Amino acid sequence: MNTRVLGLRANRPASHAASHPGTHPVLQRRQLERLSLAALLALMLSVALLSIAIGPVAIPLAEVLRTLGALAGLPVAEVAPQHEAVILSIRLPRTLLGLLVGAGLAVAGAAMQGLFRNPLADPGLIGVSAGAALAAVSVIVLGGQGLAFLTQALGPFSLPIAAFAGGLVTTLLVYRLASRDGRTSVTTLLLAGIAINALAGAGTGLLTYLADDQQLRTLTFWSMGSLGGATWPAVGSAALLIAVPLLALPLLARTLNALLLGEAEAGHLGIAVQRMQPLIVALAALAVGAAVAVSGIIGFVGLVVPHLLRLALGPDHRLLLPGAALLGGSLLLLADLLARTLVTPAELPIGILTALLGGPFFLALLLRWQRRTA
Amino acid sequence: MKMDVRPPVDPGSSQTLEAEGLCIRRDGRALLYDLSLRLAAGEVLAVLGANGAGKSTLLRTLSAELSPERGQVRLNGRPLSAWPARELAKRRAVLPQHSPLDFPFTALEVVLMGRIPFGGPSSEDVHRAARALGEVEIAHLAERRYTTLSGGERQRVHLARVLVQIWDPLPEREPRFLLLDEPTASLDIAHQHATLALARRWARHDLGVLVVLHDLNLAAQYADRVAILKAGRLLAVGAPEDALEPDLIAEAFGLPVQILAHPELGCPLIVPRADPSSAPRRPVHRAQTTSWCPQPPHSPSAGALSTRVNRPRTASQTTQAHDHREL
Repeated sequence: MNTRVLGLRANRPASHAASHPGTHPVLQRRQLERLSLAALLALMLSVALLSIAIGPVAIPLAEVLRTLGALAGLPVAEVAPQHEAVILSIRLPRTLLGLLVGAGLAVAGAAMQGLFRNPLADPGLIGVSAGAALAAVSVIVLGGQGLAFLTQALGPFSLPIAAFAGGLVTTLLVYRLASRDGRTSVTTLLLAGIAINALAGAGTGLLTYLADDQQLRTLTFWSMGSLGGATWPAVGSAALLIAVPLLALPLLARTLNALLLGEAEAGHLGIAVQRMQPLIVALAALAVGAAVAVSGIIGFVGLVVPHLLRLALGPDHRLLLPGAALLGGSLLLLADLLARTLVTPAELPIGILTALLGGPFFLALLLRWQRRTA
Repeated sequence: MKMDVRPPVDPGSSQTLEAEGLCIRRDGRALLYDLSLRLAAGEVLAVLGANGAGKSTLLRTLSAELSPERGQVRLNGRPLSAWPARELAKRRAVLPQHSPLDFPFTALEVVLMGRIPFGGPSSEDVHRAARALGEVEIAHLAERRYTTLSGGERQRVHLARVLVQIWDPLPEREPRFLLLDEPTASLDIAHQHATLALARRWARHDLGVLVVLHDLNLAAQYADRVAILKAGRLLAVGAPEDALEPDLIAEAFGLPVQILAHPELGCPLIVPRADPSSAPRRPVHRAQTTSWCPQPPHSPSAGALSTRVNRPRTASQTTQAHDHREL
């Protein structure tokens, strides 16, 4: 919306704007930007409240607020113990997990798009999620045998750490394949994604073949993605691992902006490109790996969220990254709300829902991109 | 005349961007060989040479993007490798030939990226950026999305971005340097001259400009000195009047030229020599056809050999169109 407002102002000569300090369109836009981040925060909080209130057992919003108040140590009236139990052991961890996973995937998507200088780079499409999932599935199936040393050494963190490692290796691989002389080939990027998705799929298939019944149930959850496994330990590990990229990537916003100009150009602006690129890759892979470890493959969040934000707020990463965290959490929670209420008492895997919504969106983007570069 | 207005060039090596004995190889082929060149504050130095002569490699080495196998580049007396990246960025800006930028920043936001070495963009930076856009005559495009601009407009946005990077004088007037890689490549003739005039204007006593050019006449008109490269070696360097010699140009480009004097500026004006084999053939053919086959001049056989084959045909087409309209 604000882009349209600015579009009208574009006709004014810049010399006029420059002669009135403080009224320059850019400075006015800064205020709008702050407002829009506040609006996104409000959206996220309201979606979170809804997500706690809505479900097979409907809980009034007042009781939700009171339970949260009691958690925060505020002196509030008593809540029905049944409702309190539902909130504390089911809805709250699930809501927090949804926020974390959504924020992590969206921020990782935005960062990878900056790194690859292409708005079509999504952790799912370029194979990073599949690589992370393959590593995680390996731990599930081989954890008792071949990889026993790993599960013993890392305990409850073996799954997220394996997923992180898998994501890291795939991101580096794709990056090496698609970049040459500081330029990224989109075609190679997407084709490499197809190949890596196929390879990781084959690996996962092979492991599925080897798995026993108990493992098979867990694997199904991986392939489709779900927040159904939300427990407090899962929330804890995800929070610990996703918080790092969530806090660190926005600090690299200016670096990512400069990288959009090209690697050499970023270097000319004093950015230590050789050190920054691997750091961004690792942070993005950490977010994706941790998300995949707790919720399986949930696609298209990292594609759709940054794209919507760029349309509304422009491509500046200083705004895009915090905005992606807020909107990513909100959208994933909304999708989860749909996934668990559409077919009650059963539950749709959320990965299927995001693919249903995100697939056509990606196709539309691809067509538009093709028309522009043709 | 032109010599008189040139600012005095400080010969001290602490005031220069200086390359010494550069050697760069790729795949066993020498891209630069024992190349030494000095860009002084206050001058415009044009780097000329045929395609693949090493102009861009030289520029990439001078900007610390490539490190030479042998030799060294020093900026204000200090080796490039000894400069922290950010301090280097405050002292020299580089205009690339092409930027892969493909995100819908506004033109002003792209220019503001030139302030990255100085920390977050302040409101003064916004006004600097707006003035830089005015400097390259696209102030009216400030709020346009970069992705909607034409190639020439994009190039000028990047020129404004590198200007804003070295906008203010440094403490104690420490020299700044501007390296431009074919800044005129996607510009029309008026903007080619505007860009070089801008380089000329900016080359003040504490700012040196190195510009890679293809157009010898632009170099002759605007540069204080020209450097001619051939196969990674420096063939000649000096004032345009001295370095732009017919023999040197023929050796560097394989093109025989004639040097005239610019009618107004007096600087060298380079004109390719007439090559008899590429001269218009029409008179020759006409003489042949008339000698053995007396055909009317509009006949197709004579027309097909002529270089201006279209002219009679379009004339007849327009008459036909006219006839149709009248009917």
